[in-house]
Amino acid sequence: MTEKLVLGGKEFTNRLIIGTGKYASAQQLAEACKASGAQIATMAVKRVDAEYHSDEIVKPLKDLGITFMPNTSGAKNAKEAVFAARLSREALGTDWIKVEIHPDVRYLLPDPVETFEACKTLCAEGFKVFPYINADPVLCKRLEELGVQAVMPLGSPIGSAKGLETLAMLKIIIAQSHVPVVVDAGIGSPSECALALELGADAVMANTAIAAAGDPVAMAAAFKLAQDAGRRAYEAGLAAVNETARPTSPMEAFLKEAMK
Amino acid sequence: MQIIYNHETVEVPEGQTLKDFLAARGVATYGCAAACNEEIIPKTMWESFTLKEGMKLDVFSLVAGG
Repeated sequence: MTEKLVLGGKEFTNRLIIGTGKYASAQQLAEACKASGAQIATMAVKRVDAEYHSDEIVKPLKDLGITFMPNTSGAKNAKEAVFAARLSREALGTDWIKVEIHPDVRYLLPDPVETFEACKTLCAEGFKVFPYINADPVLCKRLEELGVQAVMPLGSPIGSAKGLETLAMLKIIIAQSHVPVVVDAGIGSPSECALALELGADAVMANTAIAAAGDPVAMAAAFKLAQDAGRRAYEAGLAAVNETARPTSPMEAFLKEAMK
Repeated sequence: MQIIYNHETVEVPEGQTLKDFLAARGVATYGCAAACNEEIIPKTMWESFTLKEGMKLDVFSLVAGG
């Protein structure tokens, strides 16, 4: 049994946050969510259109007891993100909000200035704020001072499956942070999820890696094992890294005996 | 009378409440939020909120996303 994750004042036994985009159907999403063991899921706010079907994804996830982490995706600046946060609070009755402001559509990299401004307003309004940010240790500390519940630095661009390209910065963030660190975006495989947790990240968020897999439900199950392995390894304490070899067998003694 | 609903002009009965307007469009109470002239209308007010000529109404719901 590993330590529980405490996020936004709630306890969780699973360290994977699942993104709900790109699944073939609401049913597949619910099955993947169940297989992953995730207890937190993100979702987006969108204007109701002709395609709208009441409770399409919300109800199945609610039935699984999932904690909702709505995001502000689509917001181009702090003002729009604050509006999206207020809408999602009204829609779901939750004060959790993942602040996501990425005006650039090519790389979807988060705007640090607008994100900081949105977090400032939302923290003051009593929201439990989870900012999606670049892996910038200084920005993480500034957001921590504002009172965010966690920081969510990216591993690589959203949906890129390039893994932990920001590894060196993630290590600094983890070492310095006084709030939970959720590695978000770019995770492409269960091994990368395990790696982030081995290093001491508190949780990992994954969407495309599961939803776009050959078999999303089977991949979700693999992620469940990975998050468990990663956290167990972290709590067990990794062996020290050495520049030179350290013998694991008594080779010298054996050779001396043989040469007699 | 007419209102602007999610950027489109729609015809609504005189004095229709927000609650009836949304119910007629199958919009659920849970998982949705409404804003009039960019001001959020709490769900507790949907029943007493009357639509008015030219009003700009925007309705949002939670959808799949990462």
